[in-house]
Amino acid sequence: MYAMGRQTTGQKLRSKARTINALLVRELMVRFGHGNIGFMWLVGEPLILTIGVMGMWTLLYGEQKHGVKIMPVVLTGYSTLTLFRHIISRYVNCFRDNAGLLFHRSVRPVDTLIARGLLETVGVLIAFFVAYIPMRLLGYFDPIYDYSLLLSAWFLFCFGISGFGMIVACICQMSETAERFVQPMLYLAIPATGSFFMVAWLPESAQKIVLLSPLVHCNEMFRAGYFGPSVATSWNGWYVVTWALVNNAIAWTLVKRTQRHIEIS
Amino acid sequence: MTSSAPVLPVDLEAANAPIRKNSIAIRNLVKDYHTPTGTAHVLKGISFDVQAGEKIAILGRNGAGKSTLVKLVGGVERPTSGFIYRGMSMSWPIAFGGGFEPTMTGLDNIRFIARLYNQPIRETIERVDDFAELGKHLMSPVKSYSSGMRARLAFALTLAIDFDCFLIDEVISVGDQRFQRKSHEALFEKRKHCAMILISHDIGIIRSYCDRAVVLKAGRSKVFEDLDFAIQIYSAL
Repeated sequence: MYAMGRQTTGQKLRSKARTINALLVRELMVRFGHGNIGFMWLVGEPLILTIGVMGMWTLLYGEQKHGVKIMPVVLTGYSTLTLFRHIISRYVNCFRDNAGLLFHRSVRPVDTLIARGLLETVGVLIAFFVAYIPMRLLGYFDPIYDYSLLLSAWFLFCFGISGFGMIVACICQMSETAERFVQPMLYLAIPATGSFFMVAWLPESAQKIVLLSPLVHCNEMFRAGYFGPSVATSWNGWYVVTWALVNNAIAWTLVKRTQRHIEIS
Repeated sequence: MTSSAPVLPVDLEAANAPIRKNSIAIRNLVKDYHTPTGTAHVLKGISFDVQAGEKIAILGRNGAGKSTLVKLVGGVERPTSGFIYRGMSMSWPIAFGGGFEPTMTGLDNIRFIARLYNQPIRETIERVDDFAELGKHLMSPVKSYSSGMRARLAFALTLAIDFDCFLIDEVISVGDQRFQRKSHEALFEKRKHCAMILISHDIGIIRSYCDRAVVLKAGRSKVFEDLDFAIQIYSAL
């Protein structure tokens, strides 16, 4: 129960799951509390942004762009963008925010990262569906073409971004200067996420460049799951898988090293 | 640290003592910190044991490395070298409130601890409430608590979980006199069977409850079986 020497793998996994569950509920409470709609804000926050932007784009560009309905493009793009921004900004301060918890020996710094990551992964995905379902029922949206592709793209994206976020968190833990760059970088990275365009809309030379970004592949894959073959998408699943795995391999090595050096005052 | 008295030699006897199953064994603990002014060797080889039910005092002047030792024993930070064997379940430093989330209510903080330590939630709440006597306040965020209330909650939370060994870092003086009496009773009478690591400048408490003492000086340690002798050495440091 309290890390008492030899445990079977099953016991270890169960105790890890318990720790992460406790952290997850704590995170929910800290961020949203019991007040008014409470943890529904987990969904509400990204929803407000997505709906707002969907409305704005429709006003600006009309219902269609390059023959594709604009609202689903915004919804898919903004969901991934929100996730990207949330995960990274939540990870950056994670070690510092949770340093006091380390006196509970079952809590390792990485557990706090995992809890935050899971929360965003699920929260933003629910927000996506909360926006999608009424629009679908009202007939504004076509049905999702391929759920398995859509969801695999989502979880792959979350997995990869989580790895990336861990790397950023570790770098920020080592250097406070690095932390100053995070918000501007998040903003400057927006074109590289592919949230605001579809690759097929771009001239061929630009396509080559944006397709270097694994985030663009993720977005295209996510949209391929949404629209199906009626809309042209270009992505390579293996590229995304490789990116996610490499990110995580670096991330976990770094986290392991950083964990040893976390000091609390 | 700048004292001219001779440094303690490495306590070989404690370092080489066999490790028993239901004990906490600390061996050759070294901790270095990298600071802008160079490497600080805070702990330079600490060794001692805590057997089941045994109460051991850690004595040392400011800067001897006590708080670092607490962080290592508490498991927050990793030693640079050496190891800690934990054959008993050990508490976090008693009444430590650093793990509280100020924006969460007292109840939510209790629930979190209960989940983390796999305790029944309702029972834990009852136990904590019973001891801390915070009543309705438990439903307000911890940030609205007075420092006394916070300390009472922290203390009660530590006691709500059945640890084999308690880590006590200089905070037995929480709350008003009545609560102090209550916490002393809870700790030293109701939990007489528990092991304790007591870090305190209060010689009175140490004399009444501890069996042995570790004297800490400039990052080195020496275990004394004779408590009075240890206190004498400590007073002379």
